[in-house]
Order: sequence, then structure tokens, then C-alpha cells
Amino acid sequence: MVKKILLVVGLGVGLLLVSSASGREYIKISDPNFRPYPIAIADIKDVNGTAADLARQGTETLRFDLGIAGVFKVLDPRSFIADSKQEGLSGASINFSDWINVGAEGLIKVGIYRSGKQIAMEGHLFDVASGKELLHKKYKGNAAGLRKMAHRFADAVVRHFTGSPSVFFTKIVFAKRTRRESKEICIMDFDGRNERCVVKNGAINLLPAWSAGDGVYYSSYLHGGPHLYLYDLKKKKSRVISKSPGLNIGASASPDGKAVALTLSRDDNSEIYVLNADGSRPRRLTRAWAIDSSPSWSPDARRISFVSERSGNPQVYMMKSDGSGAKRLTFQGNYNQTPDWSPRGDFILFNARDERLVYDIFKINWTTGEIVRLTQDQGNNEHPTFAPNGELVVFTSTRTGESKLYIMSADGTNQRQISRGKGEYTTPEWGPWPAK
Amino acid sequence: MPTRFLPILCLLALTVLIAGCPKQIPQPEIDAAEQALLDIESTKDCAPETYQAAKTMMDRARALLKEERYEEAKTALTAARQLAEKARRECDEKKKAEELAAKQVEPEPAAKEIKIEEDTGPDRMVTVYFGFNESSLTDEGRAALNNNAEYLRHHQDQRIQVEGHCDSRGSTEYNLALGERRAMAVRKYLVKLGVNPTRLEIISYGEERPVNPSQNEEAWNQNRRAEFLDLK
Repeated sequence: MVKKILLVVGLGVGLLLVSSASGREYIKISDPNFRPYPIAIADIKDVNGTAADLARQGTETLRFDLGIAGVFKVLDPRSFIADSKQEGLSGASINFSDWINVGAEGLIKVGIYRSGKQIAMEGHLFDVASGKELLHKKYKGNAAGLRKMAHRFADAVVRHFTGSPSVFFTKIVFAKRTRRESKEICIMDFDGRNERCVVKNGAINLLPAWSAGDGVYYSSYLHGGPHLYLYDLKKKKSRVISKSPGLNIGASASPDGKAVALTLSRDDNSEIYVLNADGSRPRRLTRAWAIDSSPSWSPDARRISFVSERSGNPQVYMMKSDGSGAKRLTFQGNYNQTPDWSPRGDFILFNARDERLVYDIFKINWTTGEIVRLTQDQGNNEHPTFAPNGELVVFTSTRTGESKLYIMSADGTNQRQISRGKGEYTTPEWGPWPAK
Repeated sequence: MPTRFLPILCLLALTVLIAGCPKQIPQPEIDAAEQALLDIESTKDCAPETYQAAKTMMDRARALLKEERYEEAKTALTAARQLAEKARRECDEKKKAEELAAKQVEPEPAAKEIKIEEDTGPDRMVTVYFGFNESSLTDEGRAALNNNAEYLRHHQDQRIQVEGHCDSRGSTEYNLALGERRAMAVRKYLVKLGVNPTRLEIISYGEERPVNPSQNEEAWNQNRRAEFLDLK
């Protein structure tokens, strides 16, 4: 799509590098002349021959991470000429011409060593043209931490090229239908690994959203309602945040975490309110005799985008975060929902039903009104939210039947399924940067 | 010939002996007897024995007439006419008895009507359906709610939860709001029909509790609804 066109243009220009404060030059994905950096990831070497399965898992993790990072073109290992079992890990033992010939500009070489339950990993990053080693990292720990080590090295590689942290340690929260009439609140790593359900009380629990701290807001029918709760990931306990009569749904934490926007119907109509993070001091923002729902904060907390059907059908609007100055943003189609403001501030993701009555994901530049379609002809695609770096998007898709979780680049390319389990996966929200 | 007619025959024989053989055809007796027999043609089934006896007597009378034994014939004709009249009486009595029996059965339907007046109205609340992205009531929806208001009129102690539901298309959040609007539209209409609003609680389940979890037009139509739950 868009990226392919850029790639063709970019080939003539060459890799665009931007000077950084530290003197190093970084790849900038948002530059119009950006092209992905071609990188070869050799199969991880099982150095003492006792960790073949771990080597395979580590290789898979590195290729997935750098594949979705956005800045790389991860080369197909089936095209590789060099024999990764024979070739060494140090610069002196590598025949770089074999890697130049498959089109690589960067080369990743990793070895793992197993000793009982302990493993050690060493990772190397080379510039293929010069044979110069750009990065050399060593990690050790329990064998169960193998994927985490691979994420750590992949993150170091991303930081080397972009100067920015990767999303490889972020998590995604979602609601998963486990039985016909119950839904659980579950969390997984950004790549779909380590799925675990944290709220499973047999009731319908829905619309989870990250709080700024170690918590997840969600709505539950546990005691009617639905009421809004906050699950504390450290204490492993839930507490009530809002139980006004009617709906208490669709929480969205403000960027500083001190407030939460949500939909309440205590006025006999769905309106958007802002509460303090603990549920106190409700302030009503909307006053239209229409459904107002789905608030999402701008990263500077000055604005809130939301859905309203005050025009007769659901459309995306925005207003100042005190409720003033409401403005309609979408004018195409008659069914636009679930806005999510980019952490970069420029685009708002949303979901639209097109003229064929199919649901797809779009983004709109709220200052210019420019709209970009991100999904097409792949089932129904809904409920998009941005990763904290604004470069990736998680969403649901029915392209294989039941609703599952997928991620893609913010330009719509590189779509991959991440959920692995059975059941219906709904309403994902990409979590914040992990605490330092 | 049945033995009970023997006295009549003896009488006939005696009459012949005494009076000799008159030559006059007993025309009035013939006419009367024939008419009486015609009149009881319909009694063939209700008094079959008497009818048959009258007929046999008439045949006998005709035989006597042929033989020009007029006095004997006259007596036979009279007997036939009397038998015919007897058959008619028997039938009339039977009919009266039947009519009386019918009259005695009649009070039952009257009792049933009283029971209907005491009936408790519709036996249940019925589900109301909605169009896509609609929370306004259709004609069918209003008809269903008229039924439900009638039900509530007959169950004054019942409190009801009105549950608004949506099909699976569109966002979870918007559908929760839409389901609530459906439940509110139902409550508003029921209140208009005289139901006390304090008896009606509303809740929206959005798209979370489909009747039919399939993804097709039929399932969507079934899932866009308001249901009624008795709160005991």
C-alpha cells in the first residue's frame, strides 16, 4: 500500500539518516523518504548443542520483534547463503559477502549456551558492508526467560537505529468471551505471549482500559449496572470506581492518570463525564439528547475525541477536555465509532462501516481532515488502539472467522495475528510504556 | 302378526258375524287411515315398532277391502289410524324429552363465559424487536407492548426488568448505549399505557447476550430486542 510506494521512491534516495544529539544518526520512520533497513537475522546458534528448542524460540522472537518494529525489512531466511550452523558469531568468522549477496545491510548473530536450567545469550549486530560490529550484548538467567532475553536484544537493536525504545515490553489488555454469558479481562504481551486472565468472576466483564498506574479499568455486570471497577495488578484486587444508575462504561484514563473519562447514563441518556481517578467529583462534558460515548484523550490532555449520534448516526467528534467547543470530524459514511488518539497527537484511529456494510479501520488527521484507510477485504476489523510509540496498532479482526487480535503498522501494512487461544477476543487496548 | 292385536281381530270376526256383509266402501275411514299413515312417515325412526304395526294393520285393511269385507276393513282401518296416532304421540314424547335434556345441558356454556371474564389476561410478556441502529418502536413492537401492559395490569404485584439488547455489529460501547435506549423506549411506552414506572427497571446488555450467536441477517434480527424479566 502506501508504504510500498514509499519504498520504491526510497530506493533511489538511499537510507535517510537523521543526526541525533549524541552524534549518532537515527532512522526516522515518519520521514517521507523513509525506507525500511534490510536486516538478516541468522538462526540462533545452539553453541553447546543442548538448547535446540530454545534457539528456535529465540530466533522466532527476534524475527517477530524486528519484523513488526517498522524500521526494518527482515529478510527471508530461506534466501540465506551462509550456513548458520557452521558460521561463527564473531566478525572474523563471518563471510560478509554471503550477506551482502542476499541484500542485507545489517546482520544479527546470536548464540545461546545452556547449563542445566541456566542459559546465557550473546547477541551481535554487524554492519554488513564494513564488517564493523555495531552492538555486542550478553544476557544470562533462567531458561524460562529466553524470550525476554531475545526481546531485550531486539530492543537494543531498535534503540541503536532509532534512538527510541521499542514496544517489546508493553502489554495489551482485552476482554475475552470464555462462555456464552461470561467475559473475562485478560492481559498478554504485545506479541500475544503470556496470556493470562485477571478478572474472571463468571459475570460479563468488558471494555478494559489501562489506568496510569498498575491497574486496569473495566466495566462489569457482577452486581448489575454495569459498574466501573479498577483492578490493581499488584494487589490483584478490584474496587468500585463508579456505580451511578445505568451505564458506567468505556473508561479512558487521562495522560497524567489523574482523571478518567467515561460514559454514564445517570441522566437517562448516555453522556461523557470526567471523574477523578478514584471515581470522585464527576463532571459532565456533553449535553446532547443523543448517544455520546467512547471518549479518548489527546496526548496533551487538552482535547477528547468521542462518538456522538447527535447528527442522526454515530460520528467521530472532538471537544476541549472541559466539554466546550465540540466539533464533528467524520463526514463520510453513517457509522463511525471507537476513536483512539495517537500518542503522537496527529491522527485519530476510528472504525467505520463502509458502503458494503463491512467494518474497517481508518485514521483521520484531526487538523486537516485527511482520512487514510488501514484495513480492507479482510473480514470485519474493529476497535483499533495505538501502541505507546504511535507506530503500531492493535485491533480485532474476523478474517479467520471468530474475532481475534491483530497488530499492524500505523500505515496499515504488516498485519499479523497475535492472539493464539480459542474464544472470542474483543476490545483490545495497548498498554503504556512499562514502568522504569 | 303380533299376538297383542288378537283382541282386535276377534272383534272384527264378531262384527262380521253379527252384521253380515255390508256392501258400502268405508271411504272416510280409508282416507283418515291413509292420511294418518302418511303423517307418520317421519316417525319411522323414532317409534319403529308402533309405526311397523300401523303399517301392517293398513296392509291387512287393504287386503280386506279387496275381498270386499268392508266392515272388517273399516275396523282394521280404524285400528291402523289409531296405531299411527300412537306412533306420533310416542315420537312427540321422545322429542320433548330430548329437548328437555338439551335445555338441562345449556346452563354449562353460560358458566364458561363467566370464567373467561375472570381470566388473568395474557399468560406472558413477549419480546419486542427493533431495526438496525433503531431504538424507536415498530407497529409490531407496540402491539407486543400492548400485550405486555395488559399482562402487567393483571399482575399488579410484579416488578419487571426491561433488558435492551443489540446485534453484534458496531462497537461494544455504542451498543450498550443503544441497548439502553431500546429499554428506555419500551419503558416510556409502557408508562404511557398506564404501568407505574416504579415497577420497571431497565438494563442494557448491548451485544453481550445474543439469543442467536450466528453472524447472519436472521440472527441479527433476533438479537435486536427488548426482553422482560420478572423480578420476584
